[in-house]
Amino acid sequence: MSTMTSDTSIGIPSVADNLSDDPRRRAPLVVGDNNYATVTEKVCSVVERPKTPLAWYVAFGVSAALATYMVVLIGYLFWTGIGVWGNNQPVGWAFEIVNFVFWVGIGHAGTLISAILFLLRQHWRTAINRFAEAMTIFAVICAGLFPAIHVGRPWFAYWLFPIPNQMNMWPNFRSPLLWDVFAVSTYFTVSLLFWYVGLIPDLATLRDRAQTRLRSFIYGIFALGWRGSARHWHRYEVAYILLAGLATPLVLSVHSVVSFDFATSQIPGWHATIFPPYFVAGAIFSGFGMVLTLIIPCRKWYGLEEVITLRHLENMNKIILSTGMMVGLAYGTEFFIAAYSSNPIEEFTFINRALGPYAWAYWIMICCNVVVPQIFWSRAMRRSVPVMFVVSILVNVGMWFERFVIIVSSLNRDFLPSSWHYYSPTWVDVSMLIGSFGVFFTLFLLFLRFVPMVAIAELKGVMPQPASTRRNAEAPHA
Amino acid sequence: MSSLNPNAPRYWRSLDDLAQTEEFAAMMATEFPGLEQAIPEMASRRTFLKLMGASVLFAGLTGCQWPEEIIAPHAHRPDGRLPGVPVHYATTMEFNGVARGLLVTSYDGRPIKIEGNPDHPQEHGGADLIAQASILELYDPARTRIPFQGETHSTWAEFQLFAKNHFGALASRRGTGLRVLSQGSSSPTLGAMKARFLATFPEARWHEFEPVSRDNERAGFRLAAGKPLRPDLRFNAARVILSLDADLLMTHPAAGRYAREFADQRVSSDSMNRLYAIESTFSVTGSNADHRFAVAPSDFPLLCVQLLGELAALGVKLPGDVQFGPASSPEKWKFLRPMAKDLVAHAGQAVVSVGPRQPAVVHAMAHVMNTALRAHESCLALYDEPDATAESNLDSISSLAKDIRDGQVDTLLILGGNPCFDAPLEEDFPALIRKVPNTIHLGLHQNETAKACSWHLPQAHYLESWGDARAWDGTYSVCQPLIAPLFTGKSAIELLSLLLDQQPADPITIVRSTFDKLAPNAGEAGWMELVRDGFLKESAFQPVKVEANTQDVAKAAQEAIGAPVPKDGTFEIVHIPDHKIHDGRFANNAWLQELPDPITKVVWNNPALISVKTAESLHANHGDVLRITMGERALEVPAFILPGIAEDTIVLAMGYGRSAGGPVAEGIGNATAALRTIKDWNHATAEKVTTTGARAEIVTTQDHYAIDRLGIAERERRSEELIREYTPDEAEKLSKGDHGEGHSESEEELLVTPPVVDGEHRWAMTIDLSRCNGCNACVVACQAENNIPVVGAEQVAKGRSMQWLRVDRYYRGDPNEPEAVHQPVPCMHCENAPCEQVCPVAATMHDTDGLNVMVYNRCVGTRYCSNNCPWKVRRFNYFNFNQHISEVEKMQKNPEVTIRARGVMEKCSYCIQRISAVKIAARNEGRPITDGEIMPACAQTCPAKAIVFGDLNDPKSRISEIQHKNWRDYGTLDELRNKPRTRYLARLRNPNPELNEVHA
Repeated sequence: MSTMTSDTSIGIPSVADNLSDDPRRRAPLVVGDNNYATVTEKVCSVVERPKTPLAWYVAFGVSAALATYMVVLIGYLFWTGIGVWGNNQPVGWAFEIVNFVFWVGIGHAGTLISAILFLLRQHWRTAINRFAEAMTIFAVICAGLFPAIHVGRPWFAYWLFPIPNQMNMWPNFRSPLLWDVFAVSTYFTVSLLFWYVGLIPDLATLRDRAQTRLRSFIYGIFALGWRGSARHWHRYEVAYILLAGLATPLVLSVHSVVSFDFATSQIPGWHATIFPPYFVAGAIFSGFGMVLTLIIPCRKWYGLEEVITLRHLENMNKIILSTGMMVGLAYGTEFFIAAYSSNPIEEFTFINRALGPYAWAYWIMICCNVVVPQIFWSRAMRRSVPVMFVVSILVNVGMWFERFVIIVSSLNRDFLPSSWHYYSPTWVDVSMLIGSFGVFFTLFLLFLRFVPMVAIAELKGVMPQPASTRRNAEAPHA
Repeated sequence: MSSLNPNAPRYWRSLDDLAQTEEFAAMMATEFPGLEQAIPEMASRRTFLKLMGASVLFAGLTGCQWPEEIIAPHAHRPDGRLPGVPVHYATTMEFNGVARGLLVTSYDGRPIKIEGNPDHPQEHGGADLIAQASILELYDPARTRIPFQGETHSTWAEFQLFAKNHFGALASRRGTGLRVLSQGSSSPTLGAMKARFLATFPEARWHEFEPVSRDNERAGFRLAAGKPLRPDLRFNAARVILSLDADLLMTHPAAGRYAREFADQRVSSDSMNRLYAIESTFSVTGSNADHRFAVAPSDFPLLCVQLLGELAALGVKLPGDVQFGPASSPEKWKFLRPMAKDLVAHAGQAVVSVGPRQPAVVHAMAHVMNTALRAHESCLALYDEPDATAESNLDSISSLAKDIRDGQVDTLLILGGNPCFDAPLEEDFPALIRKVPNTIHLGLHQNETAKACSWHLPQAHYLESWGDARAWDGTYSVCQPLIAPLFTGKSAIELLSLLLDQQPADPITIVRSTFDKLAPNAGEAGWMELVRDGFLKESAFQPVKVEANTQDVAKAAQEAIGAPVPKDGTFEIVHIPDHKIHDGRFANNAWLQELPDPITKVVWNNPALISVKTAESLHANHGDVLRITMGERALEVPAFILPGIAEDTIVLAMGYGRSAGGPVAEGIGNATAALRTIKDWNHATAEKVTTTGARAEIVTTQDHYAIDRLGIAERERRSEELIREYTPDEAEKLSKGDHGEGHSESEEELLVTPPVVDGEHRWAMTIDLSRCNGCNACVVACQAENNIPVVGAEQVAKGRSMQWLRVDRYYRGDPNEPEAVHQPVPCMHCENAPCEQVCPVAATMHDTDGLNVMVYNRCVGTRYCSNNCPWKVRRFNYFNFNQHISEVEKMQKNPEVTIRARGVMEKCSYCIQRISAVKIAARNEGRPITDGEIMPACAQTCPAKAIVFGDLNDPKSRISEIQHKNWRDYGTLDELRNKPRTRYLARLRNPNPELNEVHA
């Protein structure tokens, strides 16, 4: 650490912002008067602060209370039955699967940022990848919760796993729900590994900086004996790129598989070949929306504006704009195909979506997902933090409604008009949606408190090297 | 075991069988006397079964209903008695004075399922929804279990003591001050007991009252023919049928036979009959008519006069050459002339039938029409009413009320019924009954009347008692007990015997003596035959020939059409018996409460039915509470818009709004009885109807009319694809083509390989929509057979109804003159089933016979199968719906069918337990299964025989014949390539071409 002294004259030019594109050189990814040491200090101090800020306690108190509420609700659900929800005949799936798909979608941005952008050498990802990956893992936890509790007899939910048993009874491998089990659990495992592997050097940094034996011990355990040797770095980078390669197809597969739940069925409005790309685009859209929603307050409160720069945010806004239009294209394509197919039942499903009893949900979706992101054509808007915060929330609202529209409005009026029935959620449905946010934020706040929210080691890799380290060629681990 | 085979049922076993166990009886007689106390206590099911096993056994042997002293498990198994093997007994349910012949399935002494008696000339194996649901009434835990003296518990011994003194004293006064009020009954035994009763108490008077009666019909025939007559239609001879407010296919006492005979004439273009229905309400008959016209109640006399005028103008000679009225039809009844032409063209094969609500004069005019159209030659039999001199129900109850008011009544014996709820309002029975010092009420439930009486005695259910009754055509039918009384109940016959005889006679002896008088030469063998068959062959009434007193009818008709018509701005009220709970006597039956009404699909309620136009003029929407004011009476009732109700007419179903009578009945629906006075008994005029601004939720199982326009248009478009309909002309063309549309589809390759179905059998079902009239009996039969729980109005409102089989009803055409069509939808048992593919735990799959089966044990409840089912026939247990059933109700459950747990999906299984039973029996006997041997519950009970089930692998089976050769065969949603095994036969309609022009 002693090598890392603040020395602006040595190499790192101080830049006020990185918004202008100078064709002669790449825009810097870290702005302000920063070097390796200041970056380490900035990120680590958040978790090393001896006194937890009151605001964190307040936020954690609220989140944990909601998470506890969720646990109580699950208990009530298990005790009483699925009937406490509003689900009915014909709407067999409603809020619970909407929430599931919503959270899985959110979980997409993380791996996309960490894996795909990593492979594509998009260095700007380094400031936000840790954050996004953590969000992914917690979102997938929330997502995984719902399929597990939504079954009529949750005590037998484990039958969905191919566990050898005395009955020689296997799950039905033709069922997309089973594919879901594999897809989501694989995704969760790989995302967790990827996140954890990326964390190891930073955990070692925290271990080395620890002021108490306990901290040193705990971070030491999780750092897995990382010493920062060249061999370590070599192994680490090979592992990381392999995991990135492994995670990349999962980004596309997990939401494709989730979309198969619908696409392989024969319900009009579900049965569509466009679903896999459409769902993946939507998932990235919502994932980036959620990353923005979370990162905007965090970079402010934790003083990370120089690391997570406005340029980062603007890049994400561009992705939101583009994926938002992809989603819009998919909405349009669905209507076109319905009309082009000349299948009257299919045609009705889509007319009914836009004009039927759930038209309100449909138009909320269109406004939030297609209309609102168009504001990002304007550079000023793209760079306005308040605007993008509002847009990011609306994107999430819109994406939640997208799943609601797909699931509920397709089911509530399917083939036989005699079965048509309106679905209304109960207080338990709404509470569980809110409760799932409680679970998510509880985990997320714990992450903010105990884990470095920016990948310090990686970030240093994309900063200009200071002269001293150039001379020593020392690994920038601390 | 052939017990499930309707062709070879096991009836009452011979006495010889039973007599072999005499030693056993002797042994039992000395052991454990007095154990009968255990029956009501219901210590355990095992105990109960033992008791019942012995009881049923000895019921036949000793000729005694209660072998109380002889109770113990069998030391030896009596011959012919196999535990767990169901046996079937013929019996009779008397309802509103008419017998229905039934066949009851009993497991180990426990009746669990009711079917129609296949040999009975009326039922032919069909049973209507009330008969089907009456098994639940037997096990109703709210039934009265012990006698009550006022509010306090009592015993039969105490009552007997009271009766001995009290009726002894009455006898010495020759019965002065004694009155009996009984329900309508055609029981010859009860008739004989009544005669004996009146002989013992000569000053006593016997009244009869039914809130829904055929008084007007009797009065009409008195007017037209000089005596009350009973018209009996013969559909097989009728080509044109005109129903004037007559619900021939659903609420008519002979509806079971009528539905079958009517349907028989609807399946081929050669023999098609034509049904015209003119009605103010929307009845099941109206929904099956080729032409249906909504006419306000007050217009019926004028309409009949006009029709008679039309007939005369067409050259029909009216008896007595009397002119009824002008031949010209008013503008609003343009249909009259073409219809009259049709009737005249089919004279001798045309018949007019009038519903019981219509005034006597309409009945009389119909008699004139039938005489003029020579209907009596072939398609209408008239019988002399057995009790020709009896006064009308309303007169009878009024004279009783008058006597009570005059203080002439000291003792009132009420044999069943509930006058405090359903007697005419002005008689104020609830107050009146309390004026009588001694009131004794015999009833199944502690209803409004029971609570007002000084004694309330538990009545034996018909499945617990001996009795008899006559069917609509007069066939003498006998009622035998299937089980000893669960709750110490006694039948009306037994109670009368208890009052009349020193030593109360056994009910079997009493019934037997009636039979011996009816068939003096039958002897023991004849009696055994009667008990086995359930009815006495060739005991029907003989048709009589009568003339029409046309002069009197014409005079009455002129008076009727001269009567003041309801003023503009007023509304006509029609009181109809509820399709399910009738006058309220079945209100505590949860199956019936939860059964969707055949037309409105409303459950657990009786809203006021109004037409679309009336709703507009009242500015009322679905569920808006209406305030109906009639003088000082007023009723608040939510509106339900039913297309096809006559304009400015409000239809109210009776039987709801009960304040006593069981937890299911109480507080459900609207007390429409609060408007029924003698003058306003069937039809009335309400001077003011307004909306109150309040709203009430009306729960239906099918989206009602008030959905968005988009949905209405699409529903109508789809219903035409789902329910195919052809006129005879189209039928002619199609039947000669290459099997019509149903088979036009090419067998294209599927992308997926459908599961191989190459088992021994390929079960399939066809529902003939030409035969189905939408009566809903199949739904109750399915509920009874398959242990389907009741979920309550709140859950139905949420869309969680559990009935496996539903009957979809769609409207077509102009909402002011709609047609309704019905389509029963069970599981389709698709060969390429979409539900199976998506189940992650393989809980629903194909068996080798091609059935789509549910493995309840394996189901985790993802509900994915239901989502993916295009017919939405799967039902999910959102809660543990079987949690709160009492021990008594558990006894109704079919032991062959699993009780489903919470969180499990269920659906129609084609009654797989019945299939298995027959398969096992056939294998044991080393024979193939014969066609028609397996009958799912729905097919068995269908009065119209609309459902055919069988094996497609048997090329000679009826189902193969139908699904491979009948041009009317089609599958719903065939384009999805799910290959449903449940298919339909297109509906044939026979509209009058001339009338279509009038309407166009």
